[in-house]
Amino acid sequence: MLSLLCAFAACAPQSDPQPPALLISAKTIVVAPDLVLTDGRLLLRGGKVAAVGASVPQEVGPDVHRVDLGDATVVPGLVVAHTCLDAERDLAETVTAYTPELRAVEAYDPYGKGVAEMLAGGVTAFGIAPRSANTLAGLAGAVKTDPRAGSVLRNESYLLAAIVPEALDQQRFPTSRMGALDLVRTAFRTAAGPLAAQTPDREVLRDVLSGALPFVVHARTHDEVARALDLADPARDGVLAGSGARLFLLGAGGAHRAVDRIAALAAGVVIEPLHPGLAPEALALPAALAARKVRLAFSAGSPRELRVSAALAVRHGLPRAAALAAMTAWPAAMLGIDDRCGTLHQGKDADLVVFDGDPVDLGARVIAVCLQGHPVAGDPGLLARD
Amino acid sequence: MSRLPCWLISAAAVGAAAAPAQPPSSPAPAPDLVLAVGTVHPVSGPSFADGVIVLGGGRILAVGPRGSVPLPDGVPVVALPNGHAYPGLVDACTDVGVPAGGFGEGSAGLEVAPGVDLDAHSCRAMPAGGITTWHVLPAASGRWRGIGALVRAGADGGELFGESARGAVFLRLVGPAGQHPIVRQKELTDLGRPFEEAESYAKAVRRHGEAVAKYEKDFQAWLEAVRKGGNGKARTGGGEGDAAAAQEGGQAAAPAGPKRPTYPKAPPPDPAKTALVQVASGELPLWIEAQRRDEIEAALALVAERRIVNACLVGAQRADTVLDEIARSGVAVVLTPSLVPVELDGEPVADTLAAELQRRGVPFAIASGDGRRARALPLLAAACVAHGLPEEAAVRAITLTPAQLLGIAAETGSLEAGKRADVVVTSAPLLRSDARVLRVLRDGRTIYQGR
Repeated sequence: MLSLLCAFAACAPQSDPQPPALLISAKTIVVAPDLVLTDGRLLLRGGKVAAVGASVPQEVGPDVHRVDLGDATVVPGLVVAHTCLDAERDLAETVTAYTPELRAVEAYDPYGKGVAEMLAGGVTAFGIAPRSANTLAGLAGAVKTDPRAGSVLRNESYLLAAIVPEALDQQRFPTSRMGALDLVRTAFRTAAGPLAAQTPDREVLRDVLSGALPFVVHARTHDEVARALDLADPARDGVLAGSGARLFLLGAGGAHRAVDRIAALAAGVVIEPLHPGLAPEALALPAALAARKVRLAFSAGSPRELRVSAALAVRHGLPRAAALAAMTAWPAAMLGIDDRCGTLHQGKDADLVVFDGDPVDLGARVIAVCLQGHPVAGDPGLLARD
Repeated sequence: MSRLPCWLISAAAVGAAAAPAQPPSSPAPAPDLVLAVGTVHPVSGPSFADGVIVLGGGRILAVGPRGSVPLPDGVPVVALPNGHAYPGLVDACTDVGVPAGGFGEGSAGLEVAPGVDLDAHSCRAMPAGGITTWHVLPAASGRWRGIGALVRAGADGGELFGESARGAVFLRLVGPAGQHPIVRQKELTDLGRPFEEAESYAKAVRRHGEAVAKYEKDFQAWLEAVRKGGNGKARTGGGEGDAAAAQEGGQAAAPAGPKRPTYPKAPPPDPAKTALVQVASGELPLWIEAQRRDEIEAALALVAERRIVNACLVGAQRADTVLDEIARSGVAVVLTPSLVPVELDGEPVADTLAAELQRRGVPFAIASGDGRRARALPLLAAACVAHGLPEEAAVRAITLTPAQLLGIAAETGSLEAGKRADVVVTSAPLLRSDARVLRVLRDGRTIYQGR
């Protein structure tokens, strides 16, 4: 780990504003979950993916540094849909339950604990979210795993609401799940009312209703998930039904009996960190959801947690491609950063990770990480010129 | 092949003697099943493709690539052409089957086997994880915790392994978090005293045996004398202080002849001391849970001082600070890694322990340590691969090495002719995340079949 950090410090991007052009060839290049090149090539230029596979010209200029990665696997930089890192208190607003306009990126410290670890483990972008400490907790933003200031990709990626017990507080309203659901419904009805004054909080809620912002509800047990789904269910007169709102669930570990309803009403599920001690149904839930075409992403506090979750989900039946999509393209789309991250299509940021195996297998190691064309972690010499 | 201390081999021999299901002299059993799989990973040797395993009488009769092994006629064949066959996994240290309440106050002689809940849900779940044998360590309180139990997976709950199912004597040296090092140091001194007491107990037992032999001789002599005396009455001890002898010998005292000898008093039975005597002789393995550096050093010092030949460190989270000492001491290590980063006393635990032990030739097993993780045993091993452990060594650490450390390597732990037919077949190489368990056989019987 120390060597990784040193390597990281040595190759910090600010020392070199223009990354070298790189021509990478490798046994396996995962451009996107549905496009995997075998013995493929990838041209990076100016911090972007300049060409992929057959579109890479046979002759490249002398300025291009060629790297043959042999049997390695190149995947898009990993993306975590939801994390609070270690900012325990900075991301928790507990005194009032209604704080939809808060921005988690304002509590994000790019030099803070855990960010370098994320990068060393191959996570190049993540959604930084408020903690589930109140009901309408606030806005999650999307950031690049980059210690430079200005690494924020989006200030507003999704609105997080929480109806899990830790969002309740006996010192204020709501103290119960009933109260929490009532707060959510009332907030949306008020914001949608024609006479409502324009305030920052109502703008956020209107963006949710118009579908501009995803709405992520943290719900864990079967009951909590069922009530979260009610919000979007026309049959239950849900407050979001009929609007353009996109409902996502965070958690849902106990909802294996609600899989069909999730598939019908939710746009996707962010899986909370999995560990071997969970019930077999909870471990098999990602596979069950993926089988019904529900899009998945992961919540993780560290890259290790992300990879363990993916490995356990695959062990319990999730297809490898779906697991990789849940670590790359799908969270990028959910966070609204898929114009730059999540795949290695032409024109995307040159954020990639080189593994010595399939990242879904826990035995695979990160051997290099490239952020906007700069080698930033792993073996420092591997992607750097000389 | 990694270096194994000689006691491992002797321990394996002890295990074989303890549970002889098939005496070597009896005729070879008839084959009753043939497993044909895409790849066989015997662990004791290199893997090979298109393999055949012939089973009979609960044992492995032959293993080899198709063509090299004569196939018996008229025997059912289970063909899993894409399957990977491994020996049934061995979880060296777990709490699967331990009742929630634990075992109360422990002692070196406390047998865990009768207390294991073999019908527990966790026991029934083991075959689905490919585990056919596991070692339950006593969840008792105190430093000396008892004798672990060896449990075998079954189609319907667990079964005890062999007659006694005895695993290792368990000593736990781990102090509470935040304990001052000096206090802990005090706690860690004098660990050898129970062995000294056990030694004097063993001496007392030996002396008693000698005294019994002498008593039998004296009794015969006394009987002779009585018969010769002819009156049928013998002189007893008769002394005022010898009431017991007086009672035994009867009331009427004869004036002449030898004294009737008294049966020597036996030392009271003491399972704890007996267990330690067996540890000292190498008959029972001693497993010492030690996590911090001073705990590990105390364990190594105990092993050296008492010359314990069959010892193993359990946990050893801070082993990275004493790797050379461990390698020199000849003890083995049972690691209980976690999938997520672990901290001890606020400092992260090194992920590279398994790889470092492998590099130094220290035999080590990877165990779940915790029933909730047991079913993810291959993932625990896979996570060590990411930190530099070769894949073959990782598989060995959840099969053959734990069997050797538990003294049951003659019975299980690898796919070799003569061992019990404990086989797990997976859909992909075991350490890969998408490896599904297709079939588990224990003693030649299918106890689990995946979808």
